[in-house]
Amino acid sequence: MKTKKVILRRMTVLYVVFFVVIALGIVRSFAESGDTVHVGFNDGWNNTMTAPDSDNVGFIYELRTVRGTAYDIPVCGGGTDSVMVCARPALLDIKVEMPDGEQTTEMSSNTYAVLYVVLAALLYGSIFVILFIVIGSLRRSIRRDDVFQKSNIALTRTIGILLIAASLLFSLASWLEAKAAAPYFANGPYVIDTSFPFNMGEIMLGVLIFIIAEIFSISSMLSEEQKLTI
Amino acid sequence: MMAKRKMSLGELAERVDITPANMSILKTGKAKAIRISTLDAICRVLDCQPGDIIEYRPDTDE
Repeated sequence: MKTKKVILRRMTVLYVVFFVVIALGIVRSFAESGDTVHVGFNDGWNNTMTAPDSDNVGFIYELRTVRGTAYDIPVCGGGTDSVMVCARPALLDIKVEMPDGEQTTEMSSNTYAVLYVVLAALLYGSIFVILFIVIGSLRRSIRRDDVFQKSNIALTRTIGILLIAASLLFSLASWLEAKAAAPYFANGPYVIDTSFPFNMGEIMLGVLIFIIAEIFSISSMLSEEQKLTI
Repeated sequence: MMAKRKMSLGELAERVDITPANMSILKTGKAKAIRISTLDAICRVLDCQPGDIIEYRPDTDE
């Protein structure tokens, strides 16, 4: 059947593209110019390596929601003689160093934030694994002419749950970081947004995946009915 | 009706031109629906009316 071959080919392309994108994403995250793991972990690691015997304890905060009062940072080389370019930071990475023993509140807050980030990263990892399983299972079930399996529906629902949970955990970690760093900006020109940073895009995606699972479920019912029509 | 006609399930399936597995689904009442063409073929082979082979039973869930 030609249509089945076309669908199978599409699923194979999807499978390969998914693998390549994940591999590239991981490589980019760990690369020196990467923006995810590099900033958080590599900076901390480099900091420890450059001053291993220091008595000070350092914290690096990645603040994603900063509100400046004005465009007050001149950008060098950003304009011509008659054009002046100024910036207002919206994202800020700050480094706080303090003597060992004075960091109890920072430590507990940061421990929870790191725990949530690690848990969220594990959830994202499991989402990728489940996506591999779902796409592989779809490919196999297309070959068997039995696409709408109950296991596929359950796995799709699981992806939705994990995506929303991981997104909320990342938001929780960012919120804890912002709350811990906010006192350092108390009298400065910048305000740290300490409201809970919901990632609406990911939550919407999770809900969309739930809707897809429901469509799968209805299709499974229709397919079963069609199979039992003699 | 099959007993009256002294016909086995396999023979009826063969004459109606459906698989024995599907005929078994029909006989055990597991089928969700029946095509008019299938009903027509069964009635023709068994020489009976649809009412002789299907009956209404209220759903136990309702």
